Amino acid sequence: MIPSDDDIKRQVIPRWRTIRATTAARELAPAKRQAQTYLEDAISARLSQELQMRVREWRQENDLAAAEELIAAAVVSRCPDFQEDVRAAARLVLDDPHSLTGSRDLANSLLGEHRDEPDPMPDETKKMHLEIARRKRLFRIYPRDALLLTETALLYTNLGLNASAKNLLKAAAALAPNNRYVLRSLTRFWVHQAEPDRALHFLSKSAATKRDPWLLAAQLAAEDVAEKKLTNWREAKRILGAEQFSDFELTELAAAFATLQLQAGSHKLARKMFRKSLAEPTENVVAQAQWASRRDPTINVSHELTAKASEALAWEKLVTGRWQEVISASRSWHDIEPFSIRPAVMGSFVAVAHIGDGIIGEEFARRGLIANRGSAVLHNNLAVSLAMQGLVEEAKSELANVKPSAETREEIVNLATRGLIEMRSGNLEAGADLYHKSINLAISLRDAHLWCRACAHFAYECARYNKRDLANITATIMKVYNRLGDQSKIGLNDVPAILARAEKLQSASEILRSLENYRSQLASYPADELTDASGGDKSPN
Amino acid sequence: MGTKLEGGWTVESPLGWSFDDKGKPARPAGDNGSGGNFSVGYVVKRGDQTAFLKAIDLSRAMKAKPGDMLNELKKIIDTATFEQALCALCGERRMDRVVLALAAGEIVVGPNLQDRVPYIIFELADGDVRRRMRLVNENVRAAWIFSALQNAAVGLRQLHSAKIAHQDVKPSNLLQFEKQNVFKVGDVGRAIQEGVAVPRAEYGIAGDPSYAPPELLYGHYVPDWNTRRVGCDLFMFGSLIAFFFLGQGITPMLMSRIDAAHLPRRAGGEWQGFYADVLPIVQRAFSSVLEELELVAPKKFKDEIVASVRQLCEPDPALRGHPRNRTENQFDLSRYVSQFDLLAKHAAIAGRNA
Repeated sequence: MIPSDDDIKRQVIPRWRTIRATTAARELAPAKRQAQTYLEDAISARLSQELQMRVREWRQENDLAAAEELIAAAVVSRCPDFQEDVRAAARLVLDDPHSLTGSRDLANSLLGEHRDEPDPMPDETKKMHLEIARRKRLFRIYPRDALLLTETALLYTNLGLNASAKNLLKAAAALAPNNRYVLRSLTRFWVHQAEPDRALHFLSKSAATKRDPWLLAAQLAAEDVAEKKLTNWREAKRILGAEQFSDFELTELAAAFATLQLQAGSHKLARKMFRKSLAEPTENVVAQAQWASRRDPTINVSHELTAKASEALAWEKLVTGRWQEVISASRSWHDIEPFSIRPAVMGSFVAVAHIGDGIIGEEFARRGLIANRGSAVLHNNLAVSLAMQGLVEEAKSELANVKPSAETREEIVNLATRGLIEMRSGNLEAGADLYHKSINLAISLRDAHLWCRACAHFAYECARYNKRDLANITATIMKVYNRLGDQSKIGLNDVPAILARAEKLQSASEILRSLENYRSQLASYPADELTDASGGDKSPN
Repeated sequence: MGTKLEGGWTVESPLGWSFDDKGKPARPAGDNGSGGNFSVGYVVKRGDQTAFLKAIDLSRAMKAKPGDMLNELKKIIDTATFEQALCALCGERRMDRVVLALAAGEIVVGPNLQDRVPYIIFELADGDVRRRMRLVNENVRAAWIFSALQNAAVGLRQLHSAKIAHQDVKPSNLLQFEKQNVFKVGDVGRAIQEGVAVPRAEYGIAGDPSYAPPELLYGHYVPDWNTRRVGCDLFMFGSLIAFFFLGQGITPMLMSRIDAAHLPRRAGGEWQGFYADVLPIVQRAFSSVLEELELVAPKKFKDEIVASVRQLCEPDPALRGHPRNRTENQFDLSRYVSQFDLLAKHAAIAGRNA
């Protein structure tokens, strides 16, 4: 079952992506800028002087050595002059069989051909292991690459190998204690591990945290998750008020600040800060503001923004009842953070509950379980997906991974899933009994949400055989559902979806009824044909 | 041409590095032979002895921007004077792996300033390693490379012992002298001596920026002279090692792997922060270059080659050099001298057995 959105205390915990994706998202620009120095003019002059000399040599010698020198100077200076010479030199390098691989690489890059680089974050498990092996070899060659250590930790995390990820992140933090990519990544990791205080240890130790709004945002968010006292609250406030940083650089800090204000009940200030954060937001900030808008509808997040933010889009589509679009947005969300359980839970839940598609549900649950082995909710959703496909034995063994405590919400869910599996196995009475136990437990725990959900699922299973009582049951469930608050209804909109699907079902009794004409009109075999040559009757057996 | 100089030298022809199929200089090649900004190279002869004359072109000062002529002239004179002094010092210290000055003087052909040409005569090499490398037979190439590197390390160590940082170590400045069977480090025109002020010392980059260490391209100033200047030589020496196997030095290989957002502002990039903040990005690129180097280096020697480049070209200047030297002189090249000597011997044996 999906964790209710109300249960999740969302904060702007940094996204953890590849170095390439983070650079492309402009999240690694410097926080502290260096004033232009006289040295820079000297560098510029030397670069252009050297390029001119290399062009002169190239025009004179026109050989491989001169070509190599020229393309090196062109790559280092990135000067747009002498393009014709540079391109001719690059072509000569590529045409010459004696040119070496480094020169060929540079020549290709100057001619616009890109180097074949391995995918830093493959999504197939086997490819992930191969990529890890390649990186291990790289670490032996050069162990000081803090960014590669961090990115490899992400690969390990995506595979659920958290102990290995932890070691790499510790090494990366030791090598680059002030690097934003390293610190933000380890913040995400430790929050994923439900140990935000470990992230705070590194953040508070770093000298960069106080001056970098991206790190301050991560610190505020992690402190909120850890329920710790906010250490740099004043500094965050000062930076947000100063004009030192661009809207984009402040977006996550403003959103983190706004979230804290919202939780403290200062809706006015929260709205103001969310407005600021949305001036030039990251995908993560749009998701945060969209989450906040579900709590305070006066916080406005336009569809223009959510369209490019998969998590926000998934929630937006869930609220507006566009289930197929929830699935596709959840896929993109999962691609951003493959280790996160949330897109997997949402995708699998919407697939089985709202759409009734066990295959898609299985896909999401299995992908989520790679990094979240042992997750009760994913094992449950996978069991449901398998049962819906008729794979009851596999469903049973999946569900065996879930051991709920007695008299808890988890037990309500577990009993219902066991009921589903029994009913799909043909053991209708045993299944109905389990569903009843689940429903009764929901009543005794005073959980209207799970009562509605269990009843809706049971009604659906009954409707597969007979829809005679479906209208009455639907009315009973919807009576309870309609009494819930608006927020609850949004989180429970699978219930009307399940009932609507049940209504559209062709039940077994309807199928049998449709076959009645054929059964009653079975043509009898002519009696005279039954006499054989010997005159004896032929038994059908 | 034909001008007679003191000491019996005669100017023969302008100098360049064009080669016939035997790797011998084939034709003169214009005014860029010496590679200097204020100088022109010529071949000079005295009996059987051929040498290289570096003529200082004072008239270049006339081409300076209006109002800047005196400054430019001073710069040329200071540079030439410094180079002469440096050459004299190298000679005195008998630096046998540094191209030595055979003579110095002045040609006077008229009464005007531009008619006076100070010059330095150097030993004439058979060519630089950049072009000669490809002429070497495949079987002996590894031994040839390691021998060149060993000689370069010796030359640099000799300079460093006199507190001179070469600052322009690159393939075109490592010259082969076939008769003597040695390689020598040439062109000390951009060298810097500790405690001696020269005009280009104000530049972060004294030598060719295409071979400069990344911290200089980012405008990072290291206050310690050894780390700044000798560390730069070490980077360039490591880059020279990489050149033999990749065809390029480390600097362009690094720059081509760094996103424009993180490239130095004055090199067409957008990075406005400090070098310390961009260092992990440069190290990421460096790791990728090392990966490529490991793939192309000769299998038998790849561990030593990659380790040497890793130690010498470390993007963090504070960590450059042999790790076992950290407690003593971090920038001492002695260990590399021994290592490349050994590798040259091993490669020679392997080449003979091939």
